[in-house]
Amino acid sequence: MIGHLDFTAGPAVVVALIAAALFPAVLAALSRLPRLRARNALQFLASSVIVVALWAIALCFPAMRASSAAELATSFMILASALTIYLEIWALLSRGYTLGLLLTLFRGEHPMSDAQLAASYRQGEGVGWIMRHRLGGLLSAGLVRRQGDGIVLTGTGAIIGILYRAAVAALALKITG
Amino acid sequence: MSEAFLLGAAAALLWLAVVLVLLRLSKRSPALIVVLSAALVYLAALLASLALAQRVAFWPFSAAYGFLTLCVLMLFGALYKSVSLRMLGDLSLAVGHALPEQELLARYIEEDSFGRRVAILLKEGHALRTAEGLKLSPKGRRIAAGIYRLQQAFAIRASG
Repeated sequence: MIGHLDFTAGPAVVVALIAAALFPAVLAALSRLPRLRARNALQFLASSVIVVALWAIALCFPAMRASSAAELATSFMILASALTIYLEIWALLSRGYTLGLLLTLFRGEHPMSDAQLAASYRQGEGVGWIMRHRLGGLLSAGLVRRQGDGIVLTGTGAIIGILYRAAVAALALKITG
Repeated sequence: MSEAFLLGAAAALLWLAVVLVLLRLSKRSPALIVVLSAALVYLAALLASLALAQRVAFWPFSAAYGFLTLCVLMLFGALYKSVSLRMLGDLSLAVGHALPEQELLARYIEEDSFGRRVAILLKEGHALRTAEGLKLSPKGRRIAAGIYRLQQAFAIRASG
């Protein structure tokens, strides 16, 4: 206790902290399974499900049970916050565009022109890959559809696009994407 | 304990207000503004709680503040950096909500996202433009090596 700040952690809080600390080890192990190779989103989802399940199971033991609904909520928010931080880091490592350019220069080991950098991006797939990949994601999510040579927004895509522009304006962001 | 939740939620609301003002007034990187202000408001709220007459539970307060700010930070990250969302936003501005596929792809590859990201690498001192082309600075090489090792640890084959 410092001043009126009480640092006492109940068992459910300790369980959440341990579960959060376990997550990277679970993710590192799952990412090596042949069936999950190169499926980054699935690796993360499976690791999250395992850690949340372990957390829930641990809370069922009498010694680790939350003493109140508030302690259970605290435990849940700690674990959810940790998973969100891991997700942000994981997304950056596996989907980061700028990071991908940095690593292309690192792997290249010699100076590159802009055109060479663009062509060497993602181990030779080229910088166009990222746009095709993102467009493929939008198509499979049903947010856009192909029409001849063009790409057209679906109803849901249009709503998200308008909400996106409204949020960008509300936050006064000048440059995005 | 519910007082701690309320205090955490109030601090998160205060942070959101600070962010909305700073994003309009400051010329610094929006990502830096939201992350740094989240940490500063948390520290300020913790210090303020020391002065309160009644007991404040640290874990519920921190959990509530952390959870709420991280939810907003995640949304902010998507708005600020997502290429997919930007495509949807641009399409929603186009006549008939449609654009030729090649124009949509070229817009981001050649004109915008790629050039801007190269400019960030140069501005942050991670890369240098020499007569032979772009090359990593010692700082950029150190960062790239660290990220490469992290990717190896988690069997990530490539980013992008």
